[in-house]
Amino acid sequence: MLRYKSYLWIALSLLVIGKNRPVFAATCSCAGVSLSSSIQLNNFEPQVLDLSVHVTQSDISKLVSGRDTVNDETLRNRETETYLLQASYGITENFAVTGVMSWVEHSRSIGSSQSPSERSSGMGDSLVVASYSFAKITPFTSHGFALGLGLRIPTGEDSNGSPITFAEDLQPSQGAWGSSLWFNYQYALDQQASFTVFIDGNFSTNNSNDRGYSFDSEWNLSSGINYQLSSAWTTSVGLAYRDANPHLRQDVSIPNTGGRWLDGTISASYSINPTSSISLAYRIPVARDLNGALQFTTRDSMTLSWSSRFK
Amino acid sequence: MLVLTSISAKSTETVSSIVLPDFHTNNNVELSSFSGQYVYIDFWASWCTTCVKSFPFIAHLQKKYGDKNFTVVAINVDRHKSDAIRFLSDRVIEYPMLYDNAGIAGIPLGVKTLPVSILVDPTGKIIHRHTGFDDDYMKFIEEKIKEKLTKL
Repeated sequence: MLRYKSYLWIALSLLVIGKNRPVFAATCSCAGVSLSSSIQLNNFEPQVLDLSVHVTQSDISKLVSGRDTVNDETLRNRETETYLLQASYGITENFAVTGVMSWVEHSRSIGSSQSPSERSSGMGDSLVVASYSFAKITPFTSHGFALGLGLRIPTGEDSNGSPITFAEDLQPSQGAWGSSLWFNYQYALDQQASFTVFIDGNFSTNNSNDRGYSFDSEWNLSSGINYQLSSAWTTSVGLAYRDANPHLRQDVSIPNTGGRWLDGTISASYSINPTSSISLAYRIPVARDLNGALQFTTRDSMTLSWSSRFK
Repeated sequence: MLVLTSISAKSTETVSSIVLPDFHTNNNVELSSFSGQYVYIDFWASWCTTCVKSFPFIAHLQKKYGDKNFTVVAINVDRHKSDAIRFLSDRVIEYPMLYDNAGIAGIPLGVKTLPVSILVDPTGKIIHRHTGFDDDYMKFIEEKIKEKLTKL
C-alpha cells in the first residue's frame, strides 16, 4: 500500500517541478542514513535555482545482532518512506545555499496478516547548508572541492496523533536543533569529466528535543565513481559508511541504537533535457556492526529523484 | 592551489592582454592583434559534441561576415593536441585557430564548460558571453553581430 502511495507522490512531484548522482534520501530509525547525508554540495551555478524531489522507500525489517542477521520469528514488517524537497541556489560562482524539507511516512506490523498495521506520517526536520566551492572541475581543472556548514531546524513533528512516536523512531523527525560540517571532493579522470571519482563526508551533532531525546552525533562518508555513458545517461557506483553514536535520552545512552554501517550504492540518471533529470538509486547493506543485542536495520532502500534547474 | 584556481577564475572584461599559440604554427598570437574588428571567440574541444554541432554555424558566420570587420577566432582546449589534430584532419577551417590546453585564456575568461563563445568589440571589450549552443542562440548571436556591424 505504501509503495502505491509513493508512486502517487512521485507523479505529483513530477507535475509540480521539473544532476547527476542522485541523493540517497534518508529515513528510518537507527537504520538507513540520516537527514545529514541527504544532499550534495557540488555542481551549483551562480543565479541558478536547482529544485529536486527525492522519494525514498526503505525496508527496515532486517533484525540484526551486532554483525549477524537474526531470524525474526515475529514476522515484523517495517517500512518508511521519506520525501525530500531540496532547493539550492548559487549566490555567487562559489557560494551556494541549500535547503531541505522532509516528510516521513512509517508503517509497522507484527505477526500474521490479521494484525493491524500501525502507521504514522508527518513533517520531518529541515536542513539549511551554506557551502563554498574552493575549486570546480572545468576543462582546465581536474579537481573539485567544497565545504559546507549545516544547520538542522526542528520542524519535525512528534507523534502527530499517530501510534508511533516519530522523534524516537524516524531520523528526519527528531525535532531538535543540530549542526553539521560537510565536504565534497571530486577528481575528473578525463577532461570532459565523464569519469569522476568522488568522496563526500559530513559530521553532525544533534541537540535534544523537548522530550530529552537526541540522536547525538554521527559520521557519514561515501566514495565512488560516476560515469557518463552518453549525453543523457550517467551511472554511479559506490560505498557509503556511517558511524552513529547511540541515541541519548536525558543524556543517557539508549540500548540498541547506533553502530556502523557499510552500504553499497548504485544509481542511474537520465537527462530529460538540458535542465531536468530523473534518477533511480538503490542502496543495499554490505556490512554492519550495530550496538546492543538486537536492532532493526535496513534491508534495502530505493530512491527516485527528479531535478530541475531554473535560471 | 585550489584557492588560487578559484580566485583566478574570475572573468575578465577584455581580451587584449591574452597571448596564445597558433594551433598550427605554435607562433604566439596576441588577441589584441584582432582589434579594430568584432571578434567571435569560440572555445571548443574535439570531445565536445555540442561544439562540433556549432561548427557549421561558425563557418557560416566567417563566410558571411568575414569581410565586414568581423572574424571568428577558435580556441581549442583539448588536453592532448593530437586529439584535435585528428579531429580536424578531414575538416577545412577558414578562420584563425589558437590552442589553450592550460587555461591561459580559458580561466580568466570564465570557461567552466564547453562550448563557450564570446563576442568582442573592436576595442577588445567583451560585449557578450554564452555557454552552450542551440537554435535560439544561433538566431540571437547572428542578429547581434548584424546589428553591431551595421553600426560601424
